Amino acid sequence: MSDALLQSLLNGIASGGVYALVALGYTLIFSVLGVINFAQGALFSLGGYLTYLLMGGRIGVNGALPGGMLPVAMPFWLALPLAAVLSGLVALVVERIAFAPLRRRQAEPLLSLITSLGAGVVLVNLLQILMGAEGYAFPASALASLPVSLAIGAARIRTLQLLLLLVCALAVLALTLWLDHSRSGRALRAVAEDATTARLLGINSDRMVRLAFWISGVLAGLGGGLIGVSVSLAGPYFGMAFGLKGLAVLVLGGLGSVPGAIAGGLLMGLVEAFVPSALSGWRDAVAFAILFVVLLLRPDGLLGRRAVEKV
Amino acid sequence: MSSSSLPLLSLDRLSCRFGGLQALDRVSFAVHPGEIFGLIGPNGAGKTTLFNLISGVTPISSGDVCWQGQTISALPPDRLNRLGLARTFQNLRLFDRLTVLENLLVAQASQRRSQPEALATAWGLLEELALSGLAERDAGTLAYGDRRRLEIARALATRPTLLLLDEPAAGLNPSEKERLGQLIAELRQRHQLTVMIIEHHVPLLMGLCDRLAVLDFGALIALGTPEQVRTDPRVIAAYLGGGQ
Amino acid sequence: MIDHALLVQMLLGALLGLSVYLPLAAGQLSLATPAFYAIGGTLAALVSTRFPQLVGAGTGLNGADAAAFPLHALLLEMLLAGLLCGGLALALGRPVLRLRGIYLAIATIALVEIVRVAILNLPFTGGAVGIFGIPQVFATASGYLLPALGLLLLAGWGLQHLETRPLGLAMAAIRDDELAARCLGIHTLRVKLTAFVLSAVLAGSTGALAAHVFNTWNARQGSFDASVTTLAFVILGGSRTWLGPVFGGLLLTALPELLRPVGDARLVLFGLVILLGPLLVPQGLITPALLERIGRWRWSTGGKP
Repeated sequence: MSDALLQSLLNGIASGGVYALVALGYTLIFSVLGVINFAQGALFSLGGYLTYLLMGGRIGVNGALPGGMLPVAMPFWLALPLAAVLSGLVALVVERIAFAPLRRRQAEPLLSLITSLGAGVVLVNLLQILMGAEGYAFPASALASLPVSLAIGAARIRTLQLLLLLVCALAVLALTLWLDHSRSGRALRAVAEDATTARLLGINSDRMVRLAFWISGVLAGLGGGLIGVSVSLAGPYFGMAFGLKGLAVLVLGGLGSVPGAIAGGLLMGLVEAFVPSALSGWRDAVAFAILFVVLLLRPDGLLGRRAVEKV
Repeated sequence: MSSSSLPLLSLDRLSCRFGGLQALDRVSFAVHPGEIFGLIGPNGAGKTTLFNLISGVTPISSGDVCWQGQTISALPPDRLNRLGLARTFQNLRLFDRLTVLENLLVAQASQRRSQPEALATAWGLLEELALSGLAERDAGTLAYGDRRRLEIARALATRPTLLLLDEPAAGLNPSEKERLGQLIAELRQRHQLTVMIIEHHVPLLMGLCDRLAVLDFGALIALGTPEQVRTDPRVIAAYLGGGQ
Repeated sequence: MIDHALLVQMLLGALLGLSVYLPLAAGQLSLATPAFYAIGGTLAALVSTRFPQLVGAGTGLNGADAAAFPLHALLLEMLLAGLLCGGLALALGRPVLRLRGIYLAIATIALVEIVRVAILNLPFTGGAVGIFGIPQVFATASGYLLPALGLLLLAGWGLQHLETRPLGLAMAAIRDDELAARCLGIHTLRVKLTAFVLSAVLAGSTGALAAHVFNTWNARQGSFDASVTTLAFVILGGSRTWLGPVFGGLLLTALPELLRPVGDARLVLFGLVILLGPLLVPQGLITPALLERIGRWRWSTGGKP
């Protein structure tokens, strides 16, 4: 395998892994509530910025506290999971404000598209007030103890890329194991299957909804932190682009399908990685073009189940 | 009239499968112009599924539906309606946010009728089904019995030849049921209708229908006049064995 | 506080609100409005800067009187943009409208993104900077009030008319219960397609007008953000009568400008309005019940001797 090919392949799988994280977050919430959380992209941004701050990063000159920083400077391996957990907590706040009131009065699910995006707009602009609109790069010392690149056969691979891949794979593995084998994972799937019956069996569906939001926030936060350290934080809105791509992946894999989200993410990442560099400007449209075509051919996604209307 | 010998609707080995479940299994019979044709059977026998196949709501797995000798198996519900086939729904599907009058105007929206003509048809039907006092009310606010009648009126507004009624008497009290029976008989006369009717309340059908078909577990087990069906041993077995 | 330039923008917002409202009135959650808006604007920007003779604006535009782009040329551009977008919607609508609910919403978001990236990358649309120096029809912003208001009145008149027509009734019926509507003989795909095409025509014409109003045009005009903002016009204004999105569009376009004094916090406040609006007024601000009450009040006060 040539160096360039391997590099593209790894690039594809790595960014595909991040797309899969975002799409898994969407799919968990969709499977229990049947709605889309448009704040997902903002949580992705949040995860990136929190990782930066927890690692002792400074606030830029346009922020509310120019030059300010947290009184801590954690290593990356501690900052990333902590930022993800915090993003999960913010996701719970989003659920409480933007979703729970609508659910309680059984309002049109359409409304939660607006409220969740409103929550996202608030989050992103709070970030902008605090941190300014400029981008941030992680200090080169972020992963000081690791070599910059590793040799695999004849090819040299960026360590960050491998790290990103590894974390995504671990997160996806942990999530699927948890869904399949733990008590609460099974309860969550039961609620996704049939909320009413699950409630009759004594499963607290509100708790499961909150759990789904928390996990989706953690996944988005992880994605944000990983992209932040391996690329950069390109302004508070940078997560929105990933949020949108994740949406495309979600539909590609079929709404509510966990394996679909993973496969869709990898597929999307790989296709993007092989867009020739002369056409790189069009790369952002590839995901949506694929999505568009797939929807027209298979209206329920690649691995989706067909919904049957009861008459 | 020689044309009356040609069935209006005929089913030929009509089948429907949902995954592993055989909801209907090679059902064949014909409905003739002008008759009131009843469809009975225990719960889950496939009666509503049969209506769904005929009206194009559910795709047919195999077999054929013919309309005056022509196959109509692959046609969508809107085409079938424009051919002259209208239906009601067991679980009432009115346009709740439209007024009663608008519900009847919508039913004429696809037909090339002038506004005054459509209004005249609508008011005529409201009069006929004793709904004219409710014309400006939102359909969602009506009482249950009125909703049932409005659904029949709405189907009639499309000027059908064949009217499929899915449990029109469900949820009505005994005297309302009786009046509904009379109403259906009158409507057939005035609108030159052929009627197919699913009903759980068998006494209503015995007095109303010209012929009855009995379904059990997706198969046709009896077909004939009410008298023939009443005494058919298989029908008795199906109802007793079905725990009814 | 509301100057003429903002007033024109508010009218454009109301028009976009109506464009989102049209498919929604037939039960279809389409977020494609910004795509057609962007296409319409790009068409007008290209025609007026490069091929003004196409719309009868003469070729002397690069000369001294660059500011004078004739009104009839603007109207012709709006018509062309409407036709182009309507044609596109007609071609895309048949496959796209088979999708339901959230799938349709996401497919139309995909459409918006594809158009955005295309405008960003096509060789003749000016890249990230976009097309600038779009000729002005009027010397001041207030001149644009007339065509914007005219288009809004035309659209409003059409929608008011539609309410009692078979097409409008069929749209309302599909929104309530699509299957029942089909069983009553309504060609639901054709009705949905008509609403989708009308929505695209309106968005395209609005885009053509907006390109002249803003003087420059780039890919950012039609983005995912715009999809949701325009949807918010309808949800917050009210989605049960056409006056709802008009009101929502006017209000929400003005809001960020009116909030300018609060500085950086204005977008946070805008987000809060979108977040809390549906929670506080789930039916939107303008509802049929409200209009009825206003109507009765006018009748009872105006009708008495």
